[in-house]
Amino acid sequence: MFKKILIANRAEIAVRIIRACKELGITSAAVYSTADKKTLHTRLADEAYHLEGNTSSETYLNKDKILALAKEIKADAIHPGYGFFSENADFIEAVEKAGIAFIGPSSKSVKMMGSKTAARELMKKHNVPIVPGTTESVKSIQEGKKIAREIGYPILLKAAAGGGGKGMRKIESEKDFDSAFESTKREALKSFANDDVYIEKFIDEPKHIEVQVFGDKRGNYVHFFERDCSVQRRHQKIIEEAPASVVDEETRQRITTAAINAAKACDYFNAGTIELLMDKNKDFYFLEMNTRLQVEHPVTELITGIDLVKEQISVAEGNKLSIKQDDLKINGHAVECRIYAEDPYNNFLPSTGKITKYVIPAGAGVRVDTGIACDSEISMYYDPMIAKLICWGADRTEAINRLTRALHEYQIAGVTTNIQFLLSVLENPIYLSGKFDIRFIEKEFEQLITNHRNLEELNNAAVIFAALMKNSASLKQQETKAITKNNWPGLLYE
Amino acid sequence: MNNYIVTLDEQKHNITIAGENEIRLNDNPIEYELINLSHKNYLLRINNKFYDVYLENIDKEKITFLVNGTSYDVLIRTFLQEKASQLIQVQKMHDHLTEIKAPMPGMIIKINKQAGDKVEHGESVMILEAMKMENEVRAPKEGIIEKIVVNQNSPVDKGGLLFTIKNH
Repeated sequence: MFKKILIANRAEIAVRIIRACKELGITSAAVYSTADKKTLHTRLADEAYHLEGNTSSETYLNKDKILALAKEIKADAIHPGYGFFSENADFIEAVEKAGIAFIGPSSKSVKMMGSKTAARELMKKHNVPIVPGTTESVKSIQEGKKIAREIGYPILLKAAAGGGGKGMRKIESEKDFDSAFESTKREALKSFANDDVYIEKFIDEPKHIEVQVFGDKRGNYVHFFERDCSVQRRHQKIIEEAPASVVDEETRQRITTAAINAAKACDYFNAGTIELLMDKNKDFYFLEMNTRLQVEHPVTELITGIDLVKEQISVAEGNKLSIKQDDLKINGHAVECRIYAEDPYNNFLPSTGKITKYVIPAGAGVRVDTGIACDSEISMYYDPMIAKLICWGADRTEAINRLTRALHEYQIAGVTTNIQFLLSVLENPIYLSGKFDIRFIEKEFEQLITNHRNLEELNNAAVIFAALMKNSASLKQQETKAITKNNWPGLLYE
Repeated sequence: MNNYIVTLDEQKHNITIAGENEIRLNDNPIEYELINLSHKNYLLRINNKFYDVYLENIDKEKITFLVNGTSYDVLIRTFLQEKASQLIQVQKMHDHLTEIKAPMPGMIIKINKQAGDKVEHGESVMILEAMKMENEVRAPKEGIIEKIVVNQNSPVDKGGLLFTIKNH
């Protein structure tokens, strides 16, 4: 049994892990950068250690600092959360060597899945369908253009070490190839320290369906059903739900079987996700495996009743999976939306600043995973996510209605948020029908951004409030003038 | 002077504060009550409905606030101020130089154009990297780059001038 876990991450996911540790009676040790002193994870952790600096490489991505700290504070294990070190095989190897448990897969599995080209090759070998394209990195613009011509435009250019939508570009025609190739390589080098890129056929109007898998160190596997994460913008997920309304029992059998095969192919243990593209005929293709806990894991927790973080800790301790496949069933429906500090009405520009008011929703079936408290800062150094709002319902309709209700209760001041935009998505007929694909946001964009603030009643309240403020301000000014005109300063109280 | 013009989403509303609890919005009488809860927090009652309001900032003409979690950024002027600003608007139309400013803080990682170059509407002029993403800064209109005031690999603040475009 672990006594102390070092959480090598920040914000909401650090909070999520701290909470699991507390419930298990394990001491939680957090780290924080200078800019993150006022976030929530710093306050909630049993112990919090400062990492000097602000950039990721100085702090949450500093291997030496984090390993030295783990040894110094005698942590039994390190939980990497998602992002940062979660899929970094070198880091995992170093942790393994230091005699500290890594709460996640082995460095070997991460390596096998980390290179997207090698993973495609591996999947092909294990009968998991892949998207047509290259299984090796593209060496030159000439070679790339030749392959693209064979597959046919449009194509996707992707960083071999990439993920999460970074280092990926769609190319419509050959004239855009050169600049896209350079740009993708540059972004890949910066984000993943590796500029290998490969080509995939662009599949028209697919859904993004993913399967949550879990393995223990004794070779047992289960899946926790699927999620639909098709509501994305620039390959960044915005709304996720479980189960996927388009997946019927027969399709579910096929995709979960493939997902377990994929996990077995890389001797996987701990929590992992097999991401798939699914076309209109419900044919599916392996996209990538995320060898870590996903941002959207709460929707799976809400429909299965399993605490995935606790299960991760237990499996890392060497225990058997706590549940068998036959005991798992889907209960109701869950929808998550990601609340970002960004301005959807201005090209989704990130918004930075101090959160000056923060009221979170509550009530039955509402879960808020956030790393923010009042007076926290959204800084330019990290991802501008404020919170994940997740709602459970007996069915999809109830979950969506509840999420809409909860979004209306959220109050955030100090930064611009995407809450209005999320509300527009939740009332969009195509979203409600369940028949949306990964280009939904792109296709419905005009509709989604013109829909905002259609509440006349609320607008009237705003107009009235503004007038009252202006009026009281000008009254105050008049008063001040009146007082200063008085020649006897003894009467000045203000 | 308790007549105001409030501009919200480019729509103008006419407001008269008629008394302690009465206001006229575009000539419709409305009963209200404003309660100051604490420093910047207010409760606004309009007829039989309460609103939670948080005042973020108040400038001379601009008020930023939250009503039930929805953020508002409105312009407010007295009748006189409104008239004056309309006059200024007309003058601005004659201005030909367009300034392009950084939409967010970040790093300029590539500059594709130089002073004197012709640009089309929507053409990429430079790449601004922020939050690990590359963002293309495009020309908002066609014209000639008058000057570029940033250098490659230099950081920029939000709102910092990047380049200017003049008409042909």
